[in-house]
Formats: sequence, C-alpha cells, structure tokens
Amino acid sequence: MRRALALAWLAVPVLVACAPEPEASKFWRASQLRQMRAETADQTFGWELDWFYAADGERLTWTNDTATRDSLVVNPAFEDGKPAAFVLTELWYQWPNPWDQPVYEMVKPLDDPTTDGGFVHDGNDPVFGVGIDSTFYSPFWHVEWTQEPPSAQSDPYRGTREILDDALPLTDGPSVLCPLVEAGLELGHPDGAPPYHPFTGRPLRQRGTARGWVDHHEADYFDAHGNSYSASAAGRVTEGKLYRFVDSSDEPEDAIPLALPPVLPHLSQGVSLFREYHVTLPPDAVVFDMPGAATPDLEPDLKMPRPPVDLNIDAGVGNAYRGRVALNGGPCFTDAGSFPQGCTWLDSTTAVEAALPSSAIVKTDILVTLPTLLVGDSEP
Amino acid sequence: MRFWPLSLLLVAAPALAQSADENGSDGYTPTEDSIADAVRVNGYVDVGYAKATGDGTSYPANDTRSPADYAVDPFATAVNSRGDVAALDPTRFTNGFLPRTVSIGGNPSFLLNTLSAELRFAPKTLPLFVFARVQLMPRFSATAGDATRVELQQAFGRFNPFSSQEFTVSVGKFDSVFGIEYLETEANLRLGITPSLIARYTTGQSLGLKAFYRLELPAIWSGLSLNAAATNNGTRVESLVPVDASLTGGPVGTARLGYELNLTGFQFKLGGSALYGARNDQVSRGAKQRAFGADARVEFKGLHLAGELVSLHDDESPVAAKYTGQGPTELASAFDVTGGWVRLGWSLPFTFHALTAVTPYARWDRRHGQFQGFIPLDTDRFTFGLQLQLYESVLLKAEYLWNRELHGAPQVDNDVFTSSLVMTW
Repeated sequence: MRRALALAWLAVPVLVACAPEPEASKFWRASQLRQMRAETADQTFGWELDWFYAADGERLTWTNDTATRDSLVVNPAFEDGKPAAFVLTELWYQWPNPWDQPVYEMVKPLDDPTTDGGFVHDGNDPVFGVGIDSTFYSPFWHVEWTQEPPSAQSDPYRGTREILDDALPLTDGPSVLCPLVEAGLELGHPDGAPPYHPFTGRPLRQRGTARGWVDHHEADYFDAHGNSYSASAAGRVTEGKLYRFVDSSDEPEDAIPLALPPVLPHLSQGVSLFREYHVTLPPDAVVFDMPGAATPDLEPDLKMPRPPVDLNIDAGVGNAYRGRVALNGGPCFTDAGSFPQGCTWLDSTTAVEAALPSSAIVKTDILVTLPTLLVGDSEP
Repeated sequence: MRFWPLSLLLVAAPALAQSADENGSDGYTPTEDSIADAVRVNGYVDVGYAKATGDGTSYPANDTRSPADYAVDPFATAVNSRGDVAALDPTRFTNGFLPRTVSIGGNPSFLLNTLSAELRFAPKTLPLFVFARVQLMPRFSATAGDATRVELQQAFGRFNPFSSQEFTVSVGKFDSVFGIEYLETEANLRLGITPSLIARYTTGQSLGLKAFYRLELPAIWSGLSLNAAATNNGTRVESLVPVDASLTGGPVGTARLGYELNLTGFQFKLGGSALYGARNDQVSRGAKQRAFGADARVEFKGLHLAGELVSLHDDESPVAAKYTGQGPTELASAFDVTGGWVRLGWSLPFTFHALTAVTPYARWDRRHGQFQGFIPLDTDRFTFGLQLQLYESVLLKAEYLWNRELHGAPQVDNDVFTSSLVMTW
C-alpha cells in the first residue's frame, strides 16, 4: 500500500512537467521599459527600446543629439499625411484593454473671483486612485473635480479613502492621459534648445513630470495633457489603430516591423491607446530620405529600398517627407517637379487602407500608450 | 492528466482486494438488505431573515476605481452560513473577487438559504464509506431573474484499508483540510450564522485525493493527527476558484497537523496548516498560491473558545486570464492576506422543555488584504449572536455583524442583522 501511494505521488511531477505552459502576457510600465533599456536590451516585441528612453548622456534616436538627462525619446510618425511626433510610455502584449481610473483634482470654489466660473486648480497635487504596481494600473484617468471644504479634516488630501470618507463633492472632469513615471523625466532635447521633431526640426513644447499622490505615497506623472481617450461606460479604454510596416518576406503576425515612422489614425491625440497592426508592404514600396539631412539617415540596416533622390527637391518639403513610404518605386523621387504629388504615399490610415488589400493589414496582440506631441503644426 | 485514474487504482486496489478476500470470493455483491441498512439520507433546511444597512454592499457610492472588488471587501455583508452577501453591484467592473449574493440590497427579506440533502453509504462489511451532499439555493437576480443554483457540494468515497489503524484515504470532492472553520461550514453544524472574514480562503471544498491519520497517545490523554490532500484547487470557496477541473495540470497540496488533549471536562486542540500549489484560477503552473495557518480550540465547563490565523500569498499570473466559479474575468493579480478570528461561546447550563440548549457567542474577525498595487485594506468585524436549540433537530440563531473599515477601504454603512432557522432531518 505504501509503495503504491509513493508511486502515485511520484507520478505527479512527471506528468505535470509534460503539460505545455501557456504563452505569457506582458505589461511594461514606463519605468520597466526604462530598466530594460538600461540593461542594454535592444527591443521588445518589435519595438526598439531606444524609441522609448534615452538615459543621460545617450544619443537621442533619430538625431545626433545627446540626452542631457533621462528622457522620453521624440519619435517621428505620420498622421493624415502630416508629420507627427510622439513618445511611448507603456506596452502591453496579450493584455486586455486597460480600464481608466479616477484621479481627484482639487479646484478652487466656483465663487472664487479668480476662477471666472470654471474649474481652476487650487494648487494641491492630484490624487490618483490606483498605484503603478497594480495589474489594473493604466495611464488613463478620468478627472473628478473636487473642492476642499474650509473645515477639511485631511489637509492636504493625499488618498482616495479620505476624499470619499469626507464625502467631498465630486464633479466629472475630462479624460486625461497621465502615465506615472519617475520624477524628472522630460522630452529628449539638445543642450540649451527645446525638443524638436527629428525630421522637420520643428520645436516642441517641453513637457515634464509633476507630483501626484497615491494613498499618501508620492506618484509623479508625465504631463501629456492635451492627449485624451474614450472609454466604455464601464471604463474600458477604446483602442485606435497604429500601422507599422513590415517587409513582404516576413510573416505579418510575427514580423519585426521595419524601423520606419508609424502611421497614426486621424485625431490620434484623442485616442492615446493604440493596437499595433502590421502592414505588409508590396515589393515595389520604397522609403524617401533626404540626402545630407541635418539629422542622421534612417536606420542604416533598414531592409527597405531607398532610391536616388533629385537633389533639387526643396529641403523643407523633403524633410517633411523623410521616412514616408511610397508605392511603385517612388516615381517622384527623381523629379523635383513632380515631388511630392507624383507619388502614392502611405502616410495616413486612409491612404494605407485605400492602397493595399485588407489582407495586407494584420492585427497583433500589442497595445501601446502613445502620447501625440505634434501633428502638422498643431501641438495637443 | 493520467495521474488521477492511476492514483485511484493504486489507492483503491488494496482496499478492494481486502474486501473481496473477506467475502471469500473474487467479487462482492451486497444483498439488498445490507444495502438498505447501509444507506442513510440526511439533510437540513436553512430558512433565514436578514437585513443589511446601507445598500447591502460594501461599495461607497462615489468610488469609481476599477476593479471595484479590489478597493473594498465585498464579503463583509454576509447573511448566511454560505457567506452569501446581501448585495453586489452588477453595474461595477469587478475582477472575480466576489462572494455569491442573495440580492436583497438594504431590504429586510426572508431567505431560503439552503436545502441540503445527504446520502451516506456505509456497509458494515466493507472498509468503505460513500458520501454525497447536494444543495439547492433558491436565489433572485435583478438582472437574470431566477438565479437558483444546485450544487454537488461533496461526493467522495473513503477507504479505511487497515482496520487496526485510524487511517483513511478519500477520493472525490470533500471538505478542506486547512484550519478548523471548515468543520462547521454547514448551517446545522455552525455555532453562529455567518462565516468569518477569512473563511473564503480556508473552507472551500476540494476535488482530489485526501489521506487522514490519527495516532492516539492514551498515556498522556492526547492524540496527533495529520490530514493531507492533493487537489485541483486548494481550499478557497467555489465562488473564487474553479473546483471541478485543474486549470494548470498540477495538484495543490494542503495539510494540517493537529494535536489534541482530552481530559475530563477539558479539551484542548491545536493545529498548524499549510498549502502550496499552482493557483487554480488561472492557467500557468508558475503562478503559485501558498498559505500558512494556525488554530486552537479550548472547551471547558460549557465555554468554547476557538481561534484561527491564516496568511496567504498568490503570485501574479503571467497569463492574462482569470477564472472563478462564477465565470471568467480578466487578470489574476498578485494578492496577500493575513487575518484571523477568535470566538467565545457559552452553552448555558439549563434547558426548558423543548429548549435543549442556549448558547450566546461573540466573535472578532480581522483581515488585512492587498491586491498588487492597490491600497491595502484593513477591516474587522464584531459578531454577537445567540443560538437556541429546540428538541434535537432545530436551531434558531440570530446575530448582528458590525463591520468596520479601518484603513484603505472607505468607510461604508454595511452592518448586518441576520437570523436563521435550521431544521435537520
């Protein structure tokens, strides 16, 4: 009997070890991506890690500049046929779409003469409802405006419990994108100059971190105000489509995208959460790059034909087209007179969907948070 | 997957061979008379009347954090021995940390908590005991109408292969072996009405294999016991974790080592429990659950003092999916909880006609729980109650639950008055 029982127990680990382990899901917060970058990892799930972060002293991707402090890297993209710029703060793989969470912002009383009838911050830091370590953390927050009563027990407020216990009046505010990050992070920029679009050189407004609180613990956040999102009634954040190009010789689902600027959907600053789609390029697709541009060429090992370019193309126009993909071998590249209208460009989601069969566009299991910094001449 | 049938054969073979030998033949076919003698049918009906304060939930009206069940303790407003709560809010996003509910909100309501039927088969000529308990729980749901459930709560066979030893092996779906509160899960066995704040972690039924051994030490009026199980799920209640299938392929090991001292008029019991294995509310074998517990009981001159402590940790699942007895949810977060309870009951030394026992009792529960990255919650509960026993088969119980949110969870009006009439047959 004892031997039989012992045999049965011994059988357990053997049989358990034979069963396949399911594929893991992943959620990288900003700080984790930064850590991976520090550990010299090159990429994760097809995203170059030097698109996310540059540590103090590291080269800023797409440029010749060196980061003067730990920075979010400004990346080029295209939206509605216009040059755009963005940073990346979170990445999910095989993860359900995140939920938004409340953030409580203290405002002055509406009868305060300085408010002009609107909600004006009273100077206190916001209080976030959920910490960054939670599996349900997301950088998407719905603002609850609230006012500190004159006889407030908890002054200043630092935690959700006190706000709810004191029954502070709550008014629904906007939906905002505020990734929780380490204090002091800013947009990558050259020493003594503001951040800028790496291809067009257009200066960008600097954005940094500000202080908030989660349950009495400091929680700094990246100020991506101007970027927003939409969510279901239950708070599930709605995703937009982010198109990344892959080589025609790769399997689209598993391909590592080409290191080209992605294509953002219309009004991307109102989306902020994007699902990555892989767009398989036809063999005759080419990428435009300006010879002699002030910033480095596109990735040297880019598996993509870059045909010769007419040197008479206006630099200002040409720089705005760097990194764009054209079909049919880019016939306008060699003729300044027909540039850029003489080419079929894949520089907007509608252009991609019109020019390529739907089978060339494949949904992936990757989600990213992507605050938009610039579209054309507009800064959200 | 082949392990379970193999185990059954290995365990059952000696017992079956022994019974066949005793019967003097290659097989065994009990006569109809012996079957009738061996079969018993028992059960009980638990009818309740309860009223919770507030809206019957533990959710503050203005709390919009997601998931809602991570930010408060939704188990606080229990109204019956199953731990069903007065209400949940189905409009909120939750992530599978929920009890069952009777959906009465803040209204006083009669409840048919449980109709329980048990079938026992204990032939005198075989070292075998077969047991099954089926329960019917009539419920209402505001969103689904009739939400009545039928549950096969237990179904197991127990073998006693050595007549000279108190050693049994059980296979099937059986009670937990962790701690002591599982001993009074049923309404007709429980001194009070509602389970403690930690009962959700220790009192769930399990499906698998269990062995029990007791060593009597008569020279010192003592006994040692070891209860160990390898199961699909561990010891959490079915609303939190699936029981009927192993989602990881790996068993969960649970054991309790107990000591008892039995003197005339004085009894003392002490135990330590442990649990380890893959979480069965997700699919990765790498995400473990582990728990430790300690329990003690003293009985002296009608006083019953008992208490239990438990500390439990769940790893975060690397796979984004979570499954519970109430359906799939989203993410299996890391989780830590410590808690315990202590209860004092006093069986008053008098009877009066049909009134065969009167037992007032009080219990204090404390729980500190935290889902990964969420604010840790400290709650406690004082329970005051009275149990009257009428004849030998009727229990009338009433109790008041005073729930307090000490830290983390916003304070909410969620106390409960509940009562229960349990009629056993």
